[in-house]
Amino acid sequence: MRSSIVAFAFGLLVLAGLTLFAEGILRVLPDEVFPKEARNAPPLVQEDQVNIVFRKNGFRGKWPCTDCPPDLVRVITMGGSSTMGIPMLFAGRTYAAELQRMLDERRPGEHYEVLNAGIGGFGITQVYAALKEELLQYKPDIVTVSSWFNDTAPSPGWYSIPGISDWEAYEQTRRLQRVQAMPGVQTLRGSRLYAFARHYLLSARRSALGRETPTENVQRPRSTPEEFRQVLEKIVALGDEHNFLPVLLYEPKSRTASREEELASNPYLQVVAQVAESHQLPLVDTLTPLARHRQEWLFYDFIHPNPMGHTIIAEALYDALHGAEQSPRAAAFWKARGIEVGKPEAVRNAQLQLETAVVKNRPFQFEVRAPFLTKSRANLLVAVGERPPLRMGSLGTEFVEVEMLLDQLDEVPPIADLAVSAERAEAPSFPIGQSGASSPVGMEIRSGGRDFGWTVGIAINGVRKDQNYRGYNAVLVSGVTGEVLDAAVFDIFGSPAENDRLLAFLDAAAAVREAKPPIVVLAVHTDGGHNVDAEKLSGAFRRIGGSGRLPKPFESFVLVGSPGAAAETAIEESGPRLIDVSIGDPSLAGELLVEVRVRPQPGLLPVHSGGVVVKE
Amino acid sequence: MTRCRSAFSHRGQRPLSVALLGGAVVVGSLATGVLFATGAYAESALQAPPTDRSIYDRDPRSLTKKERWKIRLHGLRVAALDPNVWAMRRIDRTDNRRLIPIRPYYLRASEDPTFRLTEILMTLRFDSASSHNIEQAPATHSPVFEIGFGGKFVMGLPGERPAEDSGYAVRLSASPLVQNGLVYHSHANSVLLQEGSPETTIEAGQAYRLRLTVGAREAVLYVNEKPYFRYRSTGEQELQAGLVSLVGDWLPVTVTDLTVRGERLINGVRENFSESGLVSLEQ
Repeated sequence: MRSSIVAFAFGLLVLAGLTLFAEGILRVLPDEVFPKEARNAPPLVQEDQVNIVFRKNGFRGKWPCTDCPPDLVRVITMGGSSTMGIPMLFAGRTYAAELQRMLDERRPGEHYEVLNAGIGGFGITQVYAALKEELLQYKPDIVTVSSWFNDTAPSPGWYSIPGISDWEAYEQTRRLQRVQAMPGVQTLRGSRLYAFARHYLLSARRSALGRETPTENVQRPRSTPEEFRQVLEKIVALGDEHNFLPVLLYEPKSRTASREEELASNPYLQVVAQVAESHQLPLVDTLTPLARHRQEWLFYDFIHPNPMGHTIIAEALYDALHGAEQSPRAAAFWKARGIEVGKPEAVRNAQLQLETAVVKNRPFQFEVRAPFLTKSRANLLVAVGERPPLRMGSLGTEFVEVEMLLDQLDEVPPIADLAVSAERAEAPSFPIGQSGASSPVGMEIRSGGRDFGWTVGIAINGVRKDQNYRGYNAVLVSGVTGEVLDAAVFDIFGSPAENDRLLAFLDAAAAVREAKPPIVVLAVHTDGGHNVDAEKLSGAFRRIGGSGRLPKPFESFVLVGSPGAAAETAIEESGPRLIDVSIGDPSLAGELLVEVRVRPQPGLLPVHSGGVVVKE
Repeated sequence: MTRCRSAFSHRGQRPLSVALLGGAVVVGSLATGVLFATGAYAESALQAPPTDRSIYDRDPRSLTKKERWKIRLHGLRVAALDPNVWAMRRIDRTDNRRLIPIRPYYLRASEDPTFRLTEILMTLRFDSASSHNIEQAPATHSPVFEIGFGGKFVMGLPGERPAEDSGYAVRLSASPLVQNGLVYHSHANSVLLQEGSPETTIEAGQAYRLRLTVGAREAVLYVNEKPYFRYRSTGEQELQAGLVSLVGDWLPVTVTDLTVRGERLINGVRENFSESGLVSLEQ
């Protein structure tokens, strides 16, 4: 017995020795002696495309803040190309970006960040994988999921393993990745002897047995409705585990039929409805408003909305989050965060559209109030068509009834816009430095050079209006009304030709003829010092009240001035630090929001902008 | 008084790829008119034509498959349009080289405020589609086509919706889900001003010869030489002035014999205008 053990141990030693010898020989021989596959064994499984694609594409548009307000509510929108905004060139019109604008405008005093994590081709499995492996690190508060169409596509989807569902393929991939990550396996894979043996054994097998014939292609979708349900349930479970609120959307198609018809014919949408109901989750009914507009051009093709389509989806999503009817989970979610549910649905400029021929000579009635008006007094403004706004009395926090006889409407096109807004009875006046100019609205401006925050922000009356891009971000504000007249960005670092565009912007500002001069706000993102035409820009900045000193490369810079102001009288800050400038009282931002209630009446067209509540 | 925390606290952001000059958005504001009057925002809303026109000027037989596809990308599904004559709006630009998106194309000449439309002629045929698919799969089988005129478009701030996007349109549809006739659009709403004649039925797979005549206050459409609708405007808006456009749905449409006629001032002289802009790729 003892001699057997000794012999066995000796044999193992010899084998180990021979293995190491062979490994040594293979490492010493020149690379050209063997094909590449015999030198380096391929991995068991490649890195998951979901991770690669997500890290490469990232969020579309806005990226997460790192210096965030403590009460920030972070919303991540997930789905496929419809969510991503394909094929739009500009991310600013996706429903995620539209939702951000709506939240910024309509929820004064609250802070939201909406991130677009849609990736083209994502099905429900990829949404789960990206959420679990890439997005939970951002600690979302709300995750919206819009998916079903890509799941109906034929398998294989992302994993190139035919005949099985996306979920099975995902699990297989993860198992192989876990095996691959084991230290023993990594060592083995790094071994030349393993690669050598693997390559030549496989070659011998092919010679003896021929190439493997592809398995018969089993026709099946990437996820059946039941598989779709299982993954959706896992996403909901992730929400319970990581304390975020899942919000489910009906992913719509072009020329949407009614919700009832779409649900009756689409088992995936039925699953979405059932999961939302069983977990009491917010369910975004995109189908009803899109069906109402089915005669319009709302899609680029059969599934990808155009900007108008995205706006309608965003309104539906906003309504699900903050509308009058809340799902129990949503109500509990807002309560836990101290956010008032059922706040007034108020906007800066409520827009209704009327069918001229029908409303002409017939009284049109609505109710309006300014629900957040506490410190100022305000007047009601109503504008019809292209006419200047009419002042129609004072406005308060209680609803007032308004009746208008639109007897002049034969002078306007078949659809007339009726815009309801508020103006302050006593316009505040926030001085712009020593320039003599003043702003009727508050402003908050931030500039971060490359090493000092790498950021920018220009908020006028509480709403971001900057382009959030590298270079000089510019906003032109009316000195009379506080409305934003123009916004642009000039990436001089990227192109010296932008110098002329910036100069043209400043010239156009100087050409504005109003009772008071407009306000020009400039804030640098990343850099405002490279490629600048120092002489021309310096002179132009002096003409709006600046000192003429330009920022150094990669430094921060803010200039708030007005055309015609004397040099060195504007608000100007520059330097190697993050710069924040605040003008006026930001808490006044919500005061001029108006809420309109209207009964359905002849001639009232389906609403296309928020702030108007149609009372049945 | 509670001071609100800064409206933003962002750092390390990936920049948006937007850099547009926008138009004024204040409804009824005097500043809007002034800004336009000074020419500050006279920049066209339409995409500039390509600097390299070589593929359009060559014999179609000499074009490669890639070049033919590039031509097809600019136009309706699937009528290729000459980018010197018809253009998309800059806000409608897309980034997908394998798709012909649904979007309107605008007659460049109609951006000229002196342009007056008088007539549009075309032969139109929707691809064949069964009534079952038209009703049950409208996303992919909607035979709908619109000829727009009297259009107005004013850009909003970059990334925001247009300040104005309205106009008249002849809507032809072989789908029971979409109304036929003359409509007026404004943003995402539309009203039907005049229904098409019930004596003429629009069907998929059939060719129709269309003749739209437009006067200052009247628009008449003839389909196969029969009156289809007559619309008289009671307002002051001239129907002839404004943007002219074409747009079709996902179901392909064949457009042939397209001619747009009108007038415009050139150096103070009123001159006739007649263009097609259709590009033939027939070999």
